[in-house]
Amino acid sequence: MTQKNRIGGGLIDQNRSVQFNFDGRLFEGYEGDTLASALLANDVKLVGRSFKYHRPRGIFSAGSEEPSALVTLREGAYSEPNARATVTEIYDGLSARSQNKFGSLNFDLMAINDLLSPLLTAGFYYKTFMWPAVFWEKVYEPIIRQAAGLGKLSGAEDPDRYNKGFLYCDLLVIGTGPSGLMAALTAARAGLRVIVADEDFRMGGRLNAERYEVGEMPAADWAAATLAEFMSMDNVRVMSRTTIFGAYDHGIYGALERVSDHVAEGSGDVRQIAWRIYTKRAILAAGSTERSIAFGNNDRPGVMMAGSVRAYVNRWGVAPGKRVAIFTNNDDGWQTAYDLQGQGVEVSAIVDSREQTTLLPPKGVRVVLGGRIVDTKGRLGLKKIILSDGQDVAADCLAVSGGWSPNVHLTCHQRGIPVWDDKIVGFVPGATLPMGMAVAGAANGVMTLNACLQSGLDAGNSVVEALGRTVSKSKTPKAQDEVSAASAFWYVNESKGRAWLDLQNDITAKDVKLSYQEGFRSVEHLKRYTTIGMATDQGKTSNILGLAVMAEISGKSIAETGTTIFRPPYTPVSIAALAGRSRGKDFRPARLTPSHNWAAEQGAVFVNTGAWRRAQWFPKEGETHWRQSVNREVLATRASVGICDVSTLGKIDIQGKDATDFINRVYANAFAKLAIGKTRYGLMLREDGLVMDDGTTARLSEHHYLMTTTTANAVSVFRHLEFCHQCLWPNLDVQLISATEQFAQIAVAGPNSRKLLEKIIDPEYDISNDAFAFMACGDITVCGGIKSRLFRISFSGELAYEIAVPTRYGDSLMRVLMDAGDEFDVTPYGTEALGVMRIEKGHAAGNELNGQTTALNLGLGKIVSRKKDCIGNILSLREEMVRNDGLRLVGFKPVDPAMSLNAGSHFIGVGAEAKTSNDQGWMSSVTYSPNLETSIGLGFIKSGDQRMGEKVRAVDLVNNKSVEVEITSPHFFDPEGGRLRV
Amino acid sequence: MFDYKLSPKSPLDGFVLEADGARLREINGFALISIAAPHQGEGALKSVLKNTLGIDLPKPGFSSRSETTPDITLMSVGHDQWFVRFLETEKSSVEWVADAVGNFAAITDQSDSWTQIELSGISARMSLECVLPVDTDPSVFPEGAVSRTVLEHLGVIVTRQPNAADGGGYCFLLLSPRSSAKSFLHALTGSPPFHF
Repeated sequence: MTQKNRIGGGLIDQNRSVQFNFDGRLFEGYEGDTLASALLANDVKLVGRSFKYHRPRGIFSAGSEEPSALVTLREGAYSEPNARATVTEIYDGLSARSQNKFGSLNFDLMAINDLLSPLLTAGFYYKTFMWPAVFWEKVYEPIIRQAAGLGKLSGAEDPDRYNKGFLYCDLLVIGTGPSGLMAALTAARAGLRVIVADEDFRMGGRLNAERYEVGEMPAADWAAATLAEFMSMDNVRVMSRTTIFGAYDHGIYGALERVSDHVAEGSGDVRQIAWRIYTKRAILAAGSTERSIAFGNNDRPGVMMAGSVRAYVNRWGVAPGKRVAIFTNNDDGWQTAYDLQGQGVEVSAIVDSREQTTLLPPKGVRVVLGGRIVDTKGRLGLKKIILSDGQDVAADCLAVSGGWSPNVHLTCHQRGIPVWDDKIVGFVPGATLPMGMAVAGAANGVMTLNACLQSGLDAGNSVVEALGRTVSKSKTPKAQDEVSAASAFWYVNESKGRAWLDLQNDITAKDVKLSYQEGFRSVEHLKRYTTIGMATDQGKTSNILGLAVMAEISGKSIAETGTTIFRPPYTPVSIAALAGRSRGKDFRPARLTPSHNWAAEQGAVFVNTGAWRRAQWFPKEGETHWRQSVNREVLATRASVGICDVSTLGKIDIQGKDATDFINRVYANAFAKLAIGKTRYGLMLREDGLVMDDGTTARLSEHHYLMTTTTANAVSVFRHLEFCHQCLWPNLDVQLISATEQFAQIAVAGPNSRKLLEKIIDPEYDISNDAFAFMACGDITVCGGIKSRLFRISFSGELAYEIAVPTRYGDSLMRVLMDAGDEFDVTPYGTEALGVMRIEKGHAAGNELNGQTTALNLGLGKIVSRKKDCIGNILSLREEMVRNDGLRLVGFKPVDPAMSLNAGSHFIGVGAEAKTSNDQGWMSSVTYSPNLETSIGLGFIKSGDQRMGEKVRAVDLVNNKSVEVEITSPHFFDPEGGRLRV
Repeated sequence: MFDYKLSPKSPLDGFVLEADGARLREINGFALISIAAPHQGEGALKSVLKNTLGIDLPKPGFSSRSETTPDITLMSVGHDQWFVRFLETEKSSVEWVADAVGNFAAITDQSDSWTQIELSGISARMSLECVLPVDTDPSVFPEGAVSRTVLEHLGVIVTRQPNAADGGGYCFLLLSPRSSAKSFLHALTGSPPFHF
């Protein structure tokens, strides 16, 4: 198909043809085209249907402010809904399609909504779908969602890759129009580290869209030359296709770089990168956005912003229409007429709302001063405009200019409130800006070229000076200031038909009037009642119109009416880009135990415990249920010997002359007299007296201890100790460092554990019961001199040890123990068997140390030393925490041994109703004990220690289960601990 | 008695990867020993280090190199805490350091706690940009600079080492906990120029 509206010229390469597809039809454009410019070149004006009323919609602007030309790009899993055609670069094979239509784009069945518009005004959801209430979720909402909503997601997983990153600079310049380039040039030449970012793929801002001259050359050439200079400088990073979407604390900015959106999908490149940019200073030079004027049927395809029409003509060599009319309230709109006529495009009329102007009309162009457009005609595209005096003017494109609004968005991201400026008839940045930010050029209300260059130079020099560099005496390149008189004219009162304000959310002037009528009169209420400015374009072309209409109705000025402010992101950022690489297994890292590879070779089933992957059990051939594997591991360990990698337990190396005092203060039980070469169980309280963690601490020498923590609390305990050391007792001589990663630690448990260890421990070390008794610890060597540590501690209740070697030997130690233990049928066991054995022994673990329990609850009240002070000591004595009838940790056995127990069950008296007022406590841990051949459980019940033998019900209302249980000692297995001490 | 032997295993099995302008390689054979100054003992530690190893205590955020034995570096890693890094020898690394600093510091072996990875080449900085929240520009992160931070949720100590003698660009040493070494490596290899 020929590009019938292509008029030549512009900044595109007409020697490079690009083929793309829109709604199934093949079109040609050129490299450098956007989808919008290429469609306009091919005389395609109708590109979609509107959000609510399914009205025909066309291309409204030429930039990221576009509220109307929203399309779905690409196919299948690569498809992206609601993309703005005005910022989409075309490439060979690009596929795009229109949205929100039922049937064809030309005959949309849902256009009936437009006829029903009197019923579908702002707030109609809230009023109409009130009854019956249950219909909302099941009936009304699905129907409304189906009818509205623009594009749809594919539902398939996004196949693209995304990334994130961190950048640093002295100065971030946001926008590369005249002021941005001038500011960046000034700072770069002064030697500052500068990042220059622009959302466009061709940097230069309005310099590329206008017929200005800068430095006695076309403005676009000056922009290109300046950018070329940047590219040659090591201290400047030029980032095109990069939107600075948010201004965050401490000079940090969010940026989205579209790395490969402009090449065919499936290229393998990262698609987008979300950068976090740390700046010392930032200059916002984001320019301004042209706004519309509200008049009857001003949303018809062919009605466009005047500055955008100029951009299509000047940058892309495209005439958006064959006969273009202008409707303006300011001088700038006239420039469109000059540029169009200069390119040989017919201008059918200039309608200026002002009564007079000194501007000279282009030759042969009809000028209507004090003019008003009240209506437009043309079913799927503009054919003519109707003036207030009833005359009509033929036009297939209407260029509208309601003035320019500075792009103040990023100045608002930390609650800055823009202020009204009568001179430019728009909001400019308020006095409170994000830290380190300055605003230059049109974004600051400086609306002409030469003034923008000067504004950029001044802003750049201010930063150079502030950062201690030498300010040069360079001046701006030669440029003119264009005429720029503006007037406040927003809305044609005598409009026939609806006057549209927000094209993306389908809001009309009538909706604003209704909002006022119903009492939603503050700008914040107006926004939420009508949803004006709440679409993804954030009302860049519409907000001011809404405020102006509200101001007019309420008889206030716009300054008095005020404005809402903007939040990040400036333009939409996909969730995928924010997630970056953090998806799937990359979502969080994994910690592997030293014996991980060995365990994987054995076919171990792994479980996530925090970031750790731990072997849960080791299935053997013929075992069809995990319970079989676990029972086997437990029985084999208790019968002979089992080994388990317990390296995940936290290990904290504590040294210093005051180490003993320090440990005595952080543990609730006494440590002052722990002998060298001995280990002791320790219970740590939080400041509020509840239990924080438990573990063992070994005294390695006079001033050297090794504390162990639970796996789950390794980090929080270390942090707690650092807090205690640095903030509570900075004068204690204590040095802390984590040693968790330094040692591979293997539990060797069972009656034959000593015999097994004796085979690998070097013979000079005697680990007999006499020489190395229960709770002993010490440095040893293994396998011919490898330095190791041995602890005689037991979580299983068996004669047991934990042996620690430098981590590099962990994998090997596991293999050696398996080899050496062959004669004892050594069995590796996982976390499940570990859990079974600890419940059989009545040891508390994470389920019991849940942050809500006290030492007394756990049955450990007696070990808390009252002879010394410790963290949590005072608050653990609160009345409620020391009551005799409080919760106590005890054991539970089903009265019928065949019954299984559920963790989380609540204890209710036999015969009592299962309700909260009868609740006596809960079951925290359960397991099947292969030694007792029944289910057993640990749990907390009121006065449990005084109720041995009593029967209660364990009620699990979630699973509708009730089991009669008997209260027992928590020590089900070897309650005297004889097996530990042999 | 069986003659059982323990064989050492490195966290990344000697990993090496090269791509456009960057090289990642696991470094083995270097001991890392933490030394921490006792309460009010920094001055004494400073003197003894200067006397025995010819090395200055670096200020926070930096490392220093021994004047007498260039292979020994001292990295500032925390409040009153440094890592001594040197080539392992037959002698116990902890004892080697204990001989040098005596009772003037708490000594803890960290050699097996960290994976040590070197990232070098002209694209090394670009590679780090995607994962490391540290400004590695030479003006603020010169040779010897140290930063302790997080990289893709994992703790990391990064230090800039001397540039390669052949003009091969920047060289960074990255230390990260051993147990998550594979995840750490995955984060690095997912960055340019390795992964795309």
